[in-house]
Amino acid sequence: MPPAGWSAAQRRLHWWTAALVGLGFVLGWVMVAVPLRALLTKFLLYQAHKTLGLLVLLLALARLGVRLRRGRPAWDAALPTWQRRAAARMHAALYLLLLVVPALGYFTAAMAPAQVPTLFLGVIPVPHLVGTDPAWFAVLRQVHRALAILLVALAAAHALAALANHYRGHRGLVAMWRGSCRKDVA
Amino acid sequence: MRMAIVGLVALLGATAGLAPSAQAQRLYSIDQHYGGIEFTVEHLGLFTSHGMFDRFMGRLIIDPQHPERTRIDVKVEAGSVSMPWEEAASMLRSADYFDALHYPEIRFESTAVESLGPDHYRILGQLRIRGVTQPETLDAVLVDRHADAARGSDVAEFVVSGEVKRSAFGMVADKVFISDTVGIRIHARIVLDFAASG
Repeated sequence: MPPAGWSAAQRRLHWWTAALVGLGFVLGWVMVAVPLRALLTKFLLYQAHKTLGLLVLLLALARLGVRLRRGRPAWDAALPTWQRRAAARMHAALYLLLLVVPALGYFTAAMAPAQVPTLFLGVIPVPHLVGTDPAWFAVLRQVHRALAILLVALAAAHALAALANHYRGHRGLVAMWRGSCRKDVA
Repeated sequence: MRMAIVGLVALLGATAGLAPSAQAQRLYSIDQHYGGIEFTVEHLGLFTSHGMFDRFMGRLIIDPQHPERTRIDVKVEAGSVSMPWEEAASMLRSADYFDALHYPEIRFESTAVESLGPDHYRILGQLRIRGVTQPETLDAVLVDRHADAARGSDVAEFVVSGEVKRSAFGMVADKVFISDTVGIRIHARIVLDFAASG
């Protein structure tokens, strides 16, 4: 028997992830664009971006744990099957990218020639498990960037689909915001 | 950094026992093939960055009988500054830092060498960076000395260290993020072919 709705933890994790991914994405573009002459600003932006990325990774792991243990509420019965399938695949891709993009970001930072440490929340040093490698760095930063764009694009499509269904009278968005979608199941 | 090399030379000179047959001063040259000039700066007390100079040329005039007369003159190519991150090295060459375009040469000339112990020397001199000359003191330690049988010579390894306040040379950019104190560490290997001269 699936749970009646998303738990408070699941809902909080969902929205926090959305906010942190959005902020991290914007920060990523800004930090790269800031000229090296603004060294301190650039450093702080990179550290903020890396902290957000690590938070997203931790939240994604927590979400996966909760999801595997608790499961998800039943799909809105009014949704056509093809939409449910598409949504399920979309969710799987989002989970995967929420793990992969921050992980790639971590390795990009670790392999960067600049050799700037990763300081979680600005103060906690996160060890770099791999050393500097300019060739790998050049590849990884491109892959990290491309997959981050894909993640945000999929998240936007996911959000648009939720909004579209919301305006068609489905309760999925409300359920993620308030918790229960029992009315729809009934 | 060049200073350190100079210091090394001085140290070598101070080890007079190496050249029993030498009667007078001898001239030695060293460059990037015989050592390295590295520097270190701190960032916000959180981490450090390292860099080095790829090209330098030092002349050491050593009087084995009178190490205090050792003279060191090292010229470093400011534009040869390098860091693991090329963008940072390029910044160091810019007008805000070494201004390598206008001041292509960094130079250290010793004014005095003092013995602090059997393998330990203090090198006093003048350091010029960005056209500004300031007194500089370097600490030189002879870390290894061994005979190279194949060459019939003695090889002396020196580590020379010191500190520079970059602001004293007008290098004041990014004072919040990059420490004013720059650590200098020079490795120098000097091949003393006294045997050949004997």
